[in-house]
Amino acid sequence: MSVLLETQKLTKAFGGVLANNEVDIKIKNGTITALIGPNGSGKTTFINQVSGVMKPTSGCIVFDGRDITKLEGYQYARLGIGRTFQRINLFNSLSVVENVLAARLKFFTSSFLNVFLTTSRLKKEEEKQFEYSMKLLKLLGLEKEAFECPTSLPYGKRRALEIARALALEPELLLLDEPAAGMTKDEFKGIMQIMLLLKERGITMLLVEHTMEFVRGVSDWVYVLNFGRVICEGKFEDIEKDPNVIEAYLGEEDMQ
Amino acid sequence: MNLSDVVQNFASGMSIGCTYGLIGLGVVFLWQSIERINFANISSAMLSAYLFYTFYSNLKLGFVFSFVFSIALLALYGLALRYLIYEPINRRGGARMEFIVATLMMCTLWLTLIIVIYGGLPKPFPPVFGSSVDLVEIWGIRLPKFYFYIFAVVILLMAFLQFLLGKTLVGKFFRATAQNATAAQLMGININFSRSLAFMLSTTIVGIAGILLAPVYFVSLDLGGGSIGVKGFASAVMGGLIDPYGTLLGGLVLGMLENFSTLFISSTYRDVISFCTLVTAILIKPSGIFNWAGDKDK
Amino acid sequence: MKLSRKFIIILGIVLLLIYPLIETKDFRIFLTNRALLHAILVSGLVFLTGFAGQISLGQAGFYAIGAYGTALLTTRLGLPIPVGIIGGTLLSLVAGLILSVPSFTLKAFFLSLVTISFGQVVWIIIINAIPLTGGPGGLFGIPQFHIGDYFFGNKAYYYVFLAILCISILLMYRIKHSYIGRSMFAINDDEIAAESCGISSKKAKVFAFGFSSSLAGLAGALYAHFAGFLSPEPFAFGESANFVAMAVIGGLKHMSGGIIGGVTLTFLPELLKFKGWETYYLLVTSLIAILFVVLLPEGLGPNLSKLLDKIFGSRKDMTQTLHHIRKGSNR
Repeated sequence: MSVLLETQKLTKAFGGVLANNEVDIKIKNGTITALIGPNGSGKTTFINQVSGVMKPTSGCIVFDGRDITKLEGYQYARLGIGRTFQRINLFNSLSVVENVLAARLKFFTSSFLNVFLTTSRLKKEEEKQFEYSMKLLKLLGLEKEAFECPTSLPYGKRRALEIARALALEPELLLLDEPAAGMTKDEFKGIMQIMLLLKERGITMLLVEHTMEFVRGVSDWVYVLNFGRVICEGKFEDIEKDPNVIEAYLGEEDMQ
Repeated sequence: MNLSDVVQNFASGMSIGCTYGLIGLGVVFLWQSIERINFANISSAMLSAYLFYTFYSNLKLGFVFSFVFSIALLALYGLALRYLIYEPINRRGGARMEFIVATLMMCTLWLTLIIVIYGGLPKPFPPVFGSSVDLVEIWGIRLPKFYFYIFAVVILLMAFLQFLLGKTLVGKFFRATAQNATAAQLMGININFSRSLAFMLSTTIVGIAGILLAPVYFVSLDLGGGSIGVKGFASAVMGGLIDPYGTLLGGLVLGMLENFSTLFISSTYRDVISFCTLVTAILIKPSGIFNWAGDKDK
Repeated sequence: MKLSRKFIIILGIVLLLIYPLIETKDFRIFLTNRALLHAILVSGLVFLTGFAGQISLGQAGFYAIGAYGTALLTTRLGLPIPVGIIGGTLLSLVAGLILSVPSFTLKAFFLSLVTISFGQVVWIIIINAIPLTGGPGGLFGIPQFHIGDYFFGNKAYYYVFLAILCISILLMYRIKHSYIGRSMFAINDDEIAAESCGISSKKAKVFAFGFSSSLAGLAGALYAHFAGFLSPEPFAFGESANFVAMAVIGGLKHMSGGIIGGVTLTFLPELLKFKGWETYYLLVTSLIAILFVVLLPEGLGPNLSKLLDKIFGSRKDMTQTLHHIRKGSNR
C-alpha cells in the first residue's frame, strides 16, 4: 500500500519548547490513521503543520511523493488536503450552503471579469457548484438548513457542516481534529459511520482524538505522541497494551 | 556645534521622549486589557492641559490642587469612556471598528468643544516648572530646570506603577486579567475592577504627559491632535504593546530622533519623523523592537 | 404586500430621477452631489472593511491620488478628461494594491497604523510638493465636464454621479454573490479556516484593497473636475476618519452601508448649520455620530432594512429564486 502523506523529522519549536520533535509519520493510502496522546503532546501542532497552517521549524512534509513543506497554506488545500478544526471554525457571515460553496473555489475557472460582467459562464459555474454543494449537504443531512445561518444550528449539525465543507474540496486526505469533542456516544457513532463511508469512497484520513472508543472503532493504524515525540505505533489492540503508552496516559481517564 | 549644544539636544530629546513614552504607556495599558485602540485617549493630553490651565491660571487654585484635580478628572474620563462607549458597544454586538469610530469621533468632539470654550489660539502654559530661563548648571553645561522636573515625574510615576502592578494584590489581579480574562474570572478575580483600572490608568498617564508637554506644545489643540497620537503609538509599538520599559525606551528614541533630525531637516517635516519611525518599527519587528516582556500567551 | 414593496421601489427610483428637476436650491443639489461622491467612496470602504475585514483609516489618501492624478493629467499634460479620470483611478488602484501587502502579515492594530501613515504621507506630500500640487494655495483650473460648448452644472453632475454610483453598487452586488464575495466574508470570519478551504487570503486581500482604492480614486477624480480646484483640506486625516464613520454608521456588512452613511454624514452637518449655531454644528455632529455608533453599532442599513421588513413583510419569496440569499436576510 502506498504512502499518501509522510512527515520526515518534522520539528516545531515554540521558543524553547519542542512541540513536535522529529516526528516521522506515514499515512497509507485508503486508511484511517489515528494520532493520540495526552494533552499537550503536540497533536494539534502536528495537524496544523500538515494542513499548512503552521510552518515547521525543520523537517519536511511529503504529499503524494511531492515535498510540500514550503508551500502556502491555501495550496495545501488546493492539492487535496482538507481539515476540520477542534473548535468549530465556520463562516458565520455565510449561509450553510455558502460555507460549502466557499470551499468549492478551486473548481471555479471564471476570472473576476466574468464576475463583473456576470457572463453566462459564471452563472453556469455557480449553478453547477450550487448543485454539488446541495448534494453534499444532503449526504450529511443538512439540506433542510441550507439557507440558515450556521449559528442557528445545533452542535452536532455544525460539526457535520465542517465535515461537509472539508469534503467540498474533494480531498484525497482529510484531517479531522477531535471531531467527537463534546459529543455523546450516540452522536459520535454518527461521525464514525461517516468516516467509514468516506473510507469506502477512497478518502484517506488522519484522526486526532481523545475518545478511545472512537479511535478503536475506526482506525487502521495508530501513532502515539508524547512530549512531541512518537513513542509507539501499531494497531489499536497492540498499542493499548504497550507499557510506554500506558505510562504516558497514567492519570488520563480516557484510556478505558 | 559644541559639546554644550549636543548635551542640550540630548537632554531635551530625552525629556520630551519621556512624555512620548508615557503616552505610549496609555496605549499599552488599555491594549493589554481590552485589545482595542482607544483614540479618545489621545485627547487626554489636551484635556488635562486645558483643565490645569483653567484651574491654575483662571481660577488661581494653586499648583497641587490644579494638578491633582485635573488628573482626577482624567481618571473619571477613563471611567466614562468605559461605561459610555466601550460597554454599550460591546453589549450591542459591536466590535473593533465601531469602537474605533466612536473614539475617533470623541477626539473630534473634544477638539470642537475646546474651540468653542477656549477659542482656537494656543495659550501659554504657566511657568510652574520654572520659566525657560531657569537653568541648572552641571559640569559647566546649562540645562533648563524644567527637564529635571519631567525626569522626576516620570521616574516617580514608573516607580509607582511598578509598585502598584508588581507588588500589590490589585496589580497582580490586573496583570492576570490582562493575560487571560476567562481564567481570571474563574478564579474569582474581579475583572470588572481591573478593567476600570485599565481605563483610568491609561487616561491618567496620558493626562500627566499632557501637563508635562504643555510648556513645549503650549496649551493648544496640537496636544489633542494626531501628531501626539502617532508618537504614542510609535512608542507603544516599539515596546511590543506589552513591555512598559520598552515603551518608555521607544519614546526616548523617538524624542532623540526628532530632536537631532531638526538639526538637519526643517521642522515642518518633524511629524514625518514620527511617522517614519512608526512605520519602520512596525515593518522591522511588529512584536516590539524593545520588547523584553515576551509575547502575550494566546 | 409584495405589490406595496415594488411600488415603493419604483416611486423611489422616480424620485431619484426627477430630483434635480424639482429641487429649487442649487446648493442642495451641490450637496447631494458631494453626498453621492462620498457614497461611492464609502461603498468601497464597506467592501474592504465590512466584507473583507481589513481596516483602513487612510482612504482619503486614495481619494487624493485620484483627485490630484486627474488634475495633473488634465491641467499639466493637457490630456482629455476621460483619460484623466481613468488615469487617476488607475493610480489609486496601484496604490491600493501596494497597500495590500502589509495586510498579509500585520494584525488589525498595526494595519490601522500603517493605513493612517499612508493617508498622512499623501497629505504631507500634497502640502509640501508645491510645484506639483500647489500646496495649501491650491491647484486651479481643472476642466469641468462638457459636451461641446455645454458645460455641466450641478444638475448634470448629479445624473453622472448617480449613474456611476449605481454601477458601483451593481458591481458590488455581483461580486458579493459570487465566489469572490464568499472568499471575502470567509477571510473576515476566519482566515485560517478560509485557507484550509483553498482560499488564498493574500489574493482576497489584494482584490479587496484594489477594489476599494479604485472606487475611492474614482470618487476623487470626479471630485476634482466637479470642484474645479483642489486644496489639501478634503484629504486630511479627519476625512479618513469621517469616511470610516460613514461606513460604520451606514452599516459595515450591508450593501447600502456606503450610501446611507455617505448621505447621512454629508447632510447632517449642513442640517445643523442654522443661525447662531455656526460654532456648534461640528460639535453636535460628532455627538450625534457617537450616539449612532454606540446605540446602533450594526449601522443604520440593517435597521432600516428591518423596518422595511416590518412594514412590507420579509422577502421570503426571494429565497428560492436566488440561491445565495438567506431567509429574511437583511444583508
